[in-house]
Amino acid sequence: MKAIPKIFSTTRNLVYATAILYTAISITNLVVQGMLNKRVKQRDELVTVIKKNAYVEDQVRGISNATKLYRDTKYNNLMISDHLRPLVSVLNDTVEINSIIFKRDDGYYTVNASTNKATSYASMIGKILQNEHIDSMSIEFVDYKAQINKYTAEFKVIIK
Amino acid sequence: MNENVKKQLSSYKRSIENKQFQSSAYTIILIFTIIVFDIFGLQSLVDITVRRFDTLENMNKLIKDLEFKRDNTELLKQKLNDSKYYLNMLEESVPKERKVEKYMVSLVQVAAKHGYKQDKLVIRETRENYVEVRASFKGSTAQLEPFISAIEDQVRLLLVQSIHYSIVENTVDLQVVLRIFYLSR
Repeated sequence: MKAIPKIFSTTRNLVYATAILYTAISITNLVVQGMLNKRVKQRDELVTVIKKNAYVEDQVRGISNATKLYRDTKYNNLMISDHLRPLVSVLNDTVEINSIIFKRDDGYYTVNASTNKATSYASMIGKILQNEHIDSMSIEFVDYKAQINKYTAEFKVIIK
Repeated sequence: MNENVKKQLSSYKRSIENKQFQSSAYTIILIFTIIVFDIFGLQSLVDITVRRFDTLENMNKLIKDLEFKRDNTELLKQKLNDSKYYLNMLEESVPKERKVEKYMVSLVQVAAKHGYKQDKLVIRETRENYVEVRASFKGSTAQLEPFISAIEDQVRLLLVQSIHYSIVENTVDLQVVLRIFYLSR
């Protein structure tokens, strides 16, 4: 007979424990939900600010692309004036220029020049080959007109 | 036989009507209910709470990242404001749009400065990030090298792709092919 009140007491304690546990978990749940709501608000505010400043990233990306394009174009391609200046200088000193053709894709000059003295060509070739940007050169043809004593020659000047 | 069944049933009935038996049965049912509630009811509540904690943790990480991004953007904004002068120079050099017409005006000015007069002009659009310009110039006292040098020294990013220079009866004829770059999207 004594066992019956004991069972009742245990059951009552079990009910209390369950109720306390349920209440505690519910309160925790509510607190966490409150914190979550606060974070969601905070996140939305941050996203709004970041969206508002999205142009900054676009601008930075544009600057980065422009800088890369500038660097690649300027430093991977030799400026023509670098080798044209000394070449024209030598040609002006030694011969009479008829034409100069240069194509970047081909990488060489075709120079047509005239002179009264054939030795001028030798001097010209010697000086041109001293240039650091010039790799080699070849004579394509030489034409001599005896009645006016004029040599006309065409050269191929290959740049490095 | 019938009497025996009746006796048995009556014994069961008495047992059920017994208060001690009833108390024990109710207690067992209550304990069973509590255990079932603990297993299913509380368990699901605990699961929800744990999931919310995880979400909160992820949210905290996200907010930290967003704050970092916001701070970085603010810093970049400040730096961009400080370097406006150089950005304008960069825009002059590598514009976002083609702006070929603007460049052609400055090319004609440079040509005139070096004794050349523009003869022909062909602008070809390409699929790349440049516009190809074929320009012909004529001049009598014009020189080749200073003009090419001046073209290459201009602020606008370009490459002289080819030159065709010839002198016929003291008249200089120059054809240049230029690649004028811009920032394609």
